[in-house]
Amino acid sequence: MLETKGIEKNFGGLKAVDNVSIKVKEGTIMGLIGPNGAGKTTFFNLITGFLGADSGEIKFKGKDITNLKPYLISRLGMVRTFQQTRIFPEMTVLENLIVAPQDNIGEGFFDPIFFRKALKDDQKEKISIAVAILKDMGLSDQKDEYAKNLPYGEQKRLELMRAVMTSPDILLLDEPTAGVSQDYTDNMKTYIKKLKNERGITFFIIEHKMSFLMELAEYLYVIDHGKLIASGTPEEIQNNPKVINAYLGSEG
Amino acid sequence: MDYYSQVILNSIITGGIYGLIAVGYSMIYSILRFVNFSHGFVAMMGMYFTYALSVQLQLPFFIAAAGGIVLTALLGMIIERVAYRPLRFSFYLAPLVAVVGVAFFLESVALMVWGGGILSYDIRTISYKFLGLYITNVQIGILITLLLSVILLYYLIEKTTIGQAIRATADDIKMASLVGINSNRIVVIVFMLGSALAAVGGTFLGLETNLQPTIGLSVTAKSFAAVILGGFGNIYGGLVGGLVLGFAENLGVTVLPTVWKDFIAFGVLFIVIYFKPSGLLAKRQERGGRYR
Amino acid sequence: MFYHLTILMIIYSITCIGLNIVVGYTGFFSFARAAFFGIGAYTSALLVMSGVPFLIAIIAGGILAAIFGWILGLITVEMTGDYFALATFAFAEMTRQVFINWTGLTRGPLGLPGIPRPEIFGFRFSTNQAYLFLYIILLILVLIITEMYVKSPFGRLLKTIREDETAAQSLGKNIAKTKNISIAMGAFFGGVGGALYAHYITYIDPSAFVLHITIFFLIIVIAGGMGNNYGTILGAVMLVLVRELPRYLGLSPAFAASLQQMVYSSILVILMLVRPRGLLGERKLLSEQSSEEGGQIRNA
Ligand SMILES: Nc1ncnc2c1ncn2[C@@H]1O[C@H](COP(=O)(O)OP(=O)(O)OP(=O)(O)O)[C@@H](O)[C@H]1O
Ligand SMILES: [Mg+2]
Repeated sequence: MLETKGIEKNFGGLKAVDNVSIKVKEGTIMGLIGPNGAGKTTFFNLITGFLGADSGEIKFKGKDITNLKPYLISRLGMVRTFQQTRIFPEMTVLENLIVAPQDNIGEGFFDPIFFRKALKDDQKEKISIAVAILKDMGLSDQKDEYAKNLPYGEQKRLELMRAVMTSPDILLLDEPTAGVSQDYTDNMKTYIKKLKNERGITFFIIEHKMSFLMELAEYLYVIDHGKLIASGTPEEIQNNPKVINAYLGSEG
Repeated sequence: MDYYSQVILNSIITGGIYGLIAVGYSMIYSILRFVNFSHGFVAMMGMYFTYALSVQLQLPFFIAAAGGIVLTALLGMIIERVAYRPLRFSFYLAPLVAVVGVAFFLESVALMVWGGGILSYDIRTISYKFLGLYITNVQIGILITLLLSVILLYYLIEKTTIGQAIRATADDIKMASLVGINSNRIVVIVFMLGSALAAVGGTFLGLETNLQPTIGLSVTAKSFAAVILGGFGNIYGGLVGGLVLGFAENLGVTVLPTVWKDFIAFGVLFIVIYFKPSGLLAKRQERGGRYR
Repeated sequence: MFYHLTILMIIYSITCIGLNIVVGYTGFFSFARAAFFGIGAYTSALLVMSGVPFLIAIIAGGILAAIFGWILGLITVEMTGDYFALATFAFAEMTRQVFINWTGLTRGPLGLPGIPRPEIFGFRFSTNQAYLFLYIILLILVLIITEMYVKSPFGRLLKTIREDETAAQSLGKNIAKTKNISIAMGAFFGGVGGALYAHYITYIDPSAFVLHITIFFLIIVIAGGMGNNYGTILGAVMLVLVRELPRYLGLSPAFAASLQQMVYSSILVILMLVRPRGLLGERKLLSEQSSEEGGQIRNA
């Protein structure tokens, strides 16, 4: 469903992403790992159009999406979250969620005047969807709270829920559990599985917590210094000497 | 030919003045990523402080100018205390709005104290002809002082410990405080230094043209244009940008009627913002700072 | 004096409600207000003077301002924060230079005297009472329309731009287009406000459209509370009082002018220190409230 061929990105002299080719199959959960500064986030930025690739090709659902604007890529059904959480701080939790759907009525220039009834009905429906999702994640009590007042871990979950509100086909999550407590991490794990099974959403996840991906992911890609150095099932990766070296090397 | 050499000479003088004011501006910007809207108005105050000391109190001009510079540096310190420091971590627009308030406050003070009319320093100008160019004693003085100021500034920034701390803070304010640099103190020093430079430039402007309390706005705009042209994140960027601006303005009016001079200046600012959001000498990619 | 002050408050409210769309809701600090105000004023004044009906002329003034707003939006679409502020400021000054120098059209610094008072369907609004009545109706109209917009999903979309453009894009929102609409809408009301001003004062010249007036408008929006239209009206009421009252104290005009500038610039600084987000804050959308509203519509 998502495929890259030899994409590259340079920052000045630094090759942040160097000739990376991957494939993400529909209906799976895939992982992307690598030491700090390996180029994982940059890779996500390239796929989702937030950065332009220097060379290479990105295909999504068979379409060439290289250099497409981020919002158009998102509308094709590929939605991401950010490593540095990006919620809408001065909006309530509920507003954060109901603003997300891509089929919202009332966002065009003429809508607020001419489609007043349709718009109200649509909003009501979106609110009920949002309320259901909030219940799923156990955040119902905070729904009228300003997002900025949530603890960090809950902001991360809010960001995930907001992405889910767009009804995506694939979700790219950049370290969804960084700074999140163990309880929430488990809660998030269950939620991701549920989304995959019930809605058929495909996942591509960057994560440092190995245990998280070991359990969730069916297939992992490993990058280091911008290069793809290994790929395989979690067991294969765990025993791959190259991967072990990359991690040890970066620590030592 | 002579005509163009004359234009070039004038460009260097106006450009140098803009540059000097802009350097003060870019120091503040490079450290805080903060558009100090009041900067041009501070330059205007410097201009009038010198006037008060030299014309109203009848002090010798050089002493008056030195006094004006000191007073303006103190003004910079007060602005930092009152309108910037308390707001540094407030709502992101708050510091900008506050210095806009400061700017107009200063203008109203100048209007009240010195009136809206045009004034001038009491200095007799003598015109010389030199290599076919006309130059006045005042202009010679400006050129020499400009050169001295730049050398002094360079020495201060590059060769002293305070300069080293300023450079470190401009590079990375967090890192600098980690290695034990008192960033609050640096910010105050930079505000004072920047304001002092503005006062020098403002006094020059007063010498070159005349004194008007309403020039603050266009000085702010021009020094900002100079800083963008020269490149953010580089302390000397403003100097280069100021020269470019001086040339653009003086050459612009050789092809267009003079009444469009300000139109050209603001047009240049607009175009510069559009095409060169990181400037000629920029260190790293950086565009308007709203989000992380 | 009562009528004069109230009419000014209304004119500024309309203008600043437009500005609030851009500054308060969309989160862009625009310094172009004086330009739109001026474009609306000149357009409408010149049209009415050449025989165009009043209502058409003020709308034309608004539309021309909106077109300029749209173009400005297109050019500045990539800019954020300080750059946007500076670019809009440069645009405003360029516009003013055109007012000054295009003497064939605007008479330059001499200004346009004798701008006709409003006339609708043959009724001439020549007394201040009639003026007030007309302008109140226009203000209510503007308020209803803007509230309709800012309370709708469109308004919420504007806020996402203010809060985090990148995140909004990641959700598939066409930020560039929305931002443009917001700037153009803001410019439209700015133009209408300018037109109303011209027909009330009956004389305009370029000095009426300097940066000071932009700052004055920004203070109205900020003081009242960004992202709240009623706050904007409150701001207009307060600031008109602060600005105009010194005139009635019997001071010399020049001194009164500097004094008012001193007073409102101090207010600006103090306000930032004590309430950086203005007097009235933004209103939240509460879940009960919104589903109730939906329910009422459904039952009706
Ligand atoms: N906009 C940028 N400009 C210049 N260099 C950048 C930029 N973004 C990232 N880099 C550099 O590219 C390299 C890869 O960064 P990236 O954020 O993609 O790493 P990462 O694998 O996500 O790391 P982490 O696990 O810490 O999140 C780093 O050396 C980083 O400093
Ligand atoms: Mg990363």
